[in-house]
Amino acid sequence: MRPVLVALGLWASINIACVRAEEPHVDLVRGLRARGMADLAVDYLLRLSTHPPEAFRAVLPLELAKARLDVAAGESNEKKRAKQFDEARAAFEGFLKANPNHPLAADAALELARLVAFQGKHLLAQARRADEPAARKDMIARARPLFADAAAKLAAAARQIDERLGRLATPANTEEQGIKNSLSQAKLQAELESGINLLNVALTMPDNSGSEIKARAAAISTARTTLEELTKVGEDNPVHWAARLWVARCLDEVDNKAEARRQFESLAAEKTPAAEEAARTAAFLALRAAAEDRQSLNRSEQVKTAIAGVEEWLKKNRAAVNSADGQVARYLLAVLLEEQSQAGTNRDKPGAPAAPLSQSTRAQLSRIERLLKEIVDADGEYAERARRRRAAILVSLLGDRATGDLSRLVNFEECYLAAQIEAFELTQGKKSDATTAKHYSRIAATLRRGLMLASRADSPRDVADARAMLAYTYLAGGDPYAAAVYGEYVGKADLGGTRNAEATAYALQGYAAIIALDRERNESENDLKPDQERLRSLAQYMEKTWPDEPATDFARHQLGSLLLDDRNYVDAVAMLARIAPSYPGVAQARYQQGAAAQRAQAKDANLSAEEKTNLLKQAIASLEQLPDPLPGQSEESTLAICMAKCQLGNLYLYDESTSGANFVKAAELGRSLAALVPTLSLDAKMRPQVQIEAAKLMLAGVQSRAFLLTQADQLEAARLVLKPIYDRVTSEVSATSPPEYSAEPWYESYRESQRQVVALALRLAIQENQTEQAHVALALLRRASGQLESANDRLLRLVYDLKREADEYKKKGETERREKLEKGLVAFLDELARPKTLADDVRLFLAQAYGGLERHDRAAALLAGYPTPKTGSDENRSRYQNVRLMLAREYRLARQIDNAKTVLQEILGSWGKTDLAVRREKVFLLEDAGNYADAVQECREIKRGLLSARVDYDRAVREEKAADDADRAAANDNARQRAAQDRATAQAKKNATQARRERYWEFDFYDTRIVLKSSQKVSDQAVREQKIAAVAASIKRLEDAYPDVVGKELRDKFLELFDLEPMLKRKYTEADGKVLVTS
Amino acid sequence: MRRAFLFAVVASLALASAAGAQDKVQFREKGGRGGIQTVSGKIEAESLAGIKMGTRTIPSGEILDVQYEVPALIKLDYPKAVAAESKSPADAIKEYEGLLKSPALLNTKFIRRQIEFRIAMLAALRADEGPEALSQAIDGLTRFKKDNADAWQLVPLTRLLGRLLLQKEPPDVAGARRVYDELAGAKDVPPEVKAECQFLVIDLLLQTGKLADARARLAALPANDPRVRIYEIGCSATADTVADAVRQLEETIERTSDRTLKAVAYNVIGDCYRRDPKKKKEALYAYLWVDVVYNDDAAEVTKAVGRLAELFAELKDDDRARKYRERLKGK
Repeated sequence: MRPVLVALGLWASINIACVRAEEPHVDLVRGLRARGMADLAVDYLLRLSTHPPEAFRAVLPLELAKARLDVAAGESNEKKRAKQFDEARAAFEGFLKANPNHPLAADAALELARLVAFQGKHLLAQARRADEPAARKDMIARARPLFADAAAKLAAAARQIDERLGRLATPANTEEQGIKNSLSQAKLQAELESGINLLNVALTMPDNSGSEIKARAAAISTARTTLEELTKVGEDNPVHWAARLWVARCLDEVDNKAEARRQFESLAAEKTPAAEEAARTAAFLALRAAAEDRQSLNRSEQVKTAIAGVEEWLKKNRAAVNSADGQVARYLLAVLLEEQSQAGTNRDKPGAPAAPLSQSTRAQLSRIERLLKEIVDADGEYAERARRRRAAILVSLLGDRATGDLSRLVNFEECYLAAQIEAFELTQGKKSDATTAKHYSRIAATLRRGLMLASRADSPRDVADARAMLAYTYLAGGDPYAAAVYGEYVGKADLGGTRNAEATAYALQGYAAIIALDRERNESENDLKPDQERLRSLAQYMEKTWPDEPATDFARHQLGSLLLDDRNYVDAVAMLARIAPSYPGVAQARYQQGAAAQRAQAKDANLSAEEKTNLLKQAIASLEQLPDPLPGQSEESTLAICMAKCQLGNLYLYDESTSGANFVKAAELGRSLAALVPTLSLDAKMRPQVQIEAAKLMLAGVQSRAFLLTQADQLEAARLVLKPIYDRVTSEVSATSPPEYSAEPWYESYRESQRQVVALALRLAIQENQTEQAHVALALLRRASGQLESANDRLLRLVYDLKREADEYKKKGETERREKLEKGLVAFLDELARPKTLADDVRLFLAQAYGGLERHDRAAALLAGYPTPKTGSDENRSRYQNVRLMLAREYRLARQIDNAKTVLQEILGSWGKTDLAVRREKVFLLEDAGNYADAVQECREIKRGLLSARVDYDRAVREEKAADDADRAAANDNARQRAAQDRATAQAKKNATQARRERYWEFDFYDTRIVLKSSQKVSDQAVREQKIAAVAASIKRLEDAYPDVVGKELRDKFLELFDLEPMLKRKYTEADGKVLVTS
Repeated sequence: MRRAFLFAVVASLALASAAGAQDKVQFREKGGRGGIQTVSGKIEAESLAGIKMGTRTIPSGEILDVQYEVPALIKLDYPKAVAAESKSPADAIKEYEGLLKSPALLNTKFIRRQIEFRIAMLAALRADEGPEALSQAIDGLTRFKKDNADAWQLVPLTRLLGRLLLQKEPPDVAGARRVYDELAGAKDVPPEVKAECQFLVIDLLLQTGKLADARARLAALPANDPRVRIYEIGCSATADTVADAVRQLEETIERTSDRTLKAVAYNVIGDCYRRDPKKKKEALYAYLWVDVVYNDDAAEVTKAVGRLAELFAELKDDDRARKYRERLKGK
């Protein structure tokens, strides 16, 4: 650790000379780190980050990352360490991303590589002490890619350093010489780290068979050779000594224990200042090697010497007591002391009562117990081993009272020890539910008794631990109510010492379990509310009180879920983003974060476009940090990660950038996930679903990218991008036997993705005027759609979309593009319409499509040929009536007024007499024929019929408001109830009249429009102006009486009138009209 | 033949060593950032003003340590005593006391005095063992002070003695103030040391809330000494005006390149922050600037270290509080 700090110190201080323009914050921060106060360095930098001095702004994240790395490296608690590593890693990556060409980029890259290697090393250490082979395999599998990543990063950092060194081949002055020296040292450090990394990679290799052992030994040998090269560096360089230490470690790993020990001892004796750190570690390793050497003739003397050595080492290295080496040293000391205490102990005969312990043995065992407890509490690499060993010691100390009548336990300490023995028993082998419950029940009873007996003489820490343990016992023992109440009490009353946050997290889990139980019992949402509120309030308390405790991540997860339920997407995303990557449920939390960001994109989310984009970016950034699922991981975590990955892909698809980079990412993600699925531990039912979700993502990503190219008029490129997935979908849709799971409901969304791919291919063919290919695509679309109608609907949508695009071109004056597009579209439709006999649905579709393209004559011709239904079913009759009305409309739009009249008369004479849609068409026909007087008359007649609905609606609105006022003023429950009833009655009336009321205003608007058109026909300019002014005044009157009708409901339509007659706008403004001229 | 040759080699080495033997003075130049420096040569004179070596006089306020060239008779035992200092102060005291009995030191005033000084200082290391040990430590230092009124050692001794008097229960503020005043008023004392003592008294007055006395003392000091302004700001700050005082002090820090002055200002910033119970962390960082970055002036560093020990204890960081207490004792 330190060598890099020293090595890069000069380099960095020279390069960031700009920082010295103000106070040398870097010096303070590095000084704090060098003095073992990295936590204060982090705190200082965080404080500074709110208003960083300008010159320090760029390097602040880097310094923060370095300080965080130091904190992580010295942290013994694995969960906290993992969280700190993640924070440091994010900070390094952030710096490198923001400053790829910064003079300190190589420094940051090297630190990042070391950090990744650190993460791998910790996982490897965890794996080596794990008992369960599956867990070991899982951790080794997770460590391996980290070492590979570290190797790549180290190589990249070395290259960056080389580049800088190359530029300083001949230093121009002493300053440059200083930089060169620092860079050379950094290069050596990178090489050393690479050698160590090689060894670590070797240690992740399997060693189950002869060949595997051989391969592993060869890899270690390669690492050793690399490290030996570095021992050629001068002895005044710490790298020389570090390399020698690691060479000895290589020997140790290939079981050349004697030589390794000799080298450790030789290094430990070194006095050169440069060897200080290596000598300290070597001294410890030599002690461990000596303790493990069982060849000695006088073992007891050897143990005694080893104990003295370890005690001396711990005394000398007090600062390192809590480091990983320090913990190993303490564990070793406990083991040696235990061996020493057992040497003089008489073994009990089987069945005989345990012999009482002598005072000295008891004292020795108590010391060992304390040592082991410290290691357990630190929750580091040796915690589990220490826990087991301690349980055995506790049994020796407590004898048979541990399992007997509770009343025989006479003080807190005995109760606490007995509870721990019981807890240890619980972890030994598989137990039935009944036995497990019994154990928990006894642990809880023992702890309760102990806490009752606790006095001031008892260790406050043990008492606090016992409280946290009791909260956990309630939770794990199936009593969530007790866990919730007791855990909350312990946490809030500060009775759990350093475990306050943990105890409170048990309470939170208790509340969550209570809510889940209530849901299982189908309790109403109202009944759940009180517990949800308690959970929310406690989670907020945790977030506020213990923001840095890993246990608080559970609170964040709960809060995030509640905020998501509340549709408070902004806060939900922010809260879930705060969850550290080390949190066990991080994949699910990230999934939810993504879901919140996705739901926030909906129109009704009431967020600005910028807010929506920020949420997307934040969620994508968080989800991208999630590692890929790995073979060997549990089914539950694999599924959670896969879901989160799919969620990430969905968010990518919201990309609105012109580059479409996120679409490419989505496709890549889908592709890589689909490739991974066969190797993952997934339930047989889930595997195909995950596989299909991944495939869907891939299709959607590629299709979206191709669509983007289409919109950019890069049709050739779009077709090339689309081709592979179009071919894939073609073969899938054309397959003779569909997959066995094709009937599953979740497969339908994949079908939709397939249809979208084909629809885009069809669109491209139409746009490029490739009729034959369009036909092939259309046939495929029909096949993929299953039902003909559904294919026609999609086709119609496509036609309308293309028409809209053509209109856009028209607006922009891009005539050529518009004509090309319309030509292709019409050619495609003409081709479709060519057969003499057309199926009814196809005829209808084509008519709609021609209508959409303003080819009304063709539409009318097709509709005129629509046959009268032979059977008199309601559905057929209704469809035919619609076709006839469409025909009247198309005739009108094609200016075939007489034909339109004929068809309409026929309709009005039969089924359409009172149909508002038919009467609307009549108004339009009269209007288009220039028969304004009749048109207005018709409108007013219709309005008369609808007037009562409008009046009733307005009255219902007033009644509803009155009910609201009454509710607010209600003095008692009766009044409130009455108001609620009145409100319900008013709302029912509103609902009943709303549709006819809207029609009233619609025909009122047509009335105005027709009057305006008739006014335009007046030849006398003054009279014309007067009439238009009258129309404007009528709009103003309407606006005064019904501001929402003019200003909101029909605003767009009234604005169209301003386009129709520009004078109207002026007259409207003169009449003091407002709502149509203000935004 | 072979034995004669070996004897000749050993003898020539011994002569060479005797010829090269020199006193060594380790010191840190005031205000400079050259770190710790060592000069070798023969010490010609010693006084409260400093140590004269050739043409150069090293001011007493800058001296960190002196290694005397001891007489051949105690050449083997003297290093043993020095080495014992870091392992066991009690053993070191015994060794030094043994040396004092040696006739070889009869005519070596400076060396004798240094050994007596070391004994007094080592005894002071045990001051935290209890009130009795503290009292003995104070007595030992006071005795040395009385017997060696012109010794350069009075400068480090006064710093320690003042601190020990403040460690008493209740703190002997008047006693501490008196020893600082006595050194400030002593003949030949270097101006820097004199000023240091005067500011130590002002600091003491500030710590004990005697702001009017502190202001009066400040008024008597040369107005062109920038430290006066710094302490004036410190005197005027109350819990409500801490932010303003800190801003002014930070401006002073910005303006000056004098590292010692920066250290003084940071310590006063820390003191100001300590007047607001919610600003303990801010105070901590101010003192850390002195301990970690602007650590050239021993008096300022000692001040910062002492306050850091107190602050870490208040912040319930017992490990660091212990570490800083140990540093204060020179461990």
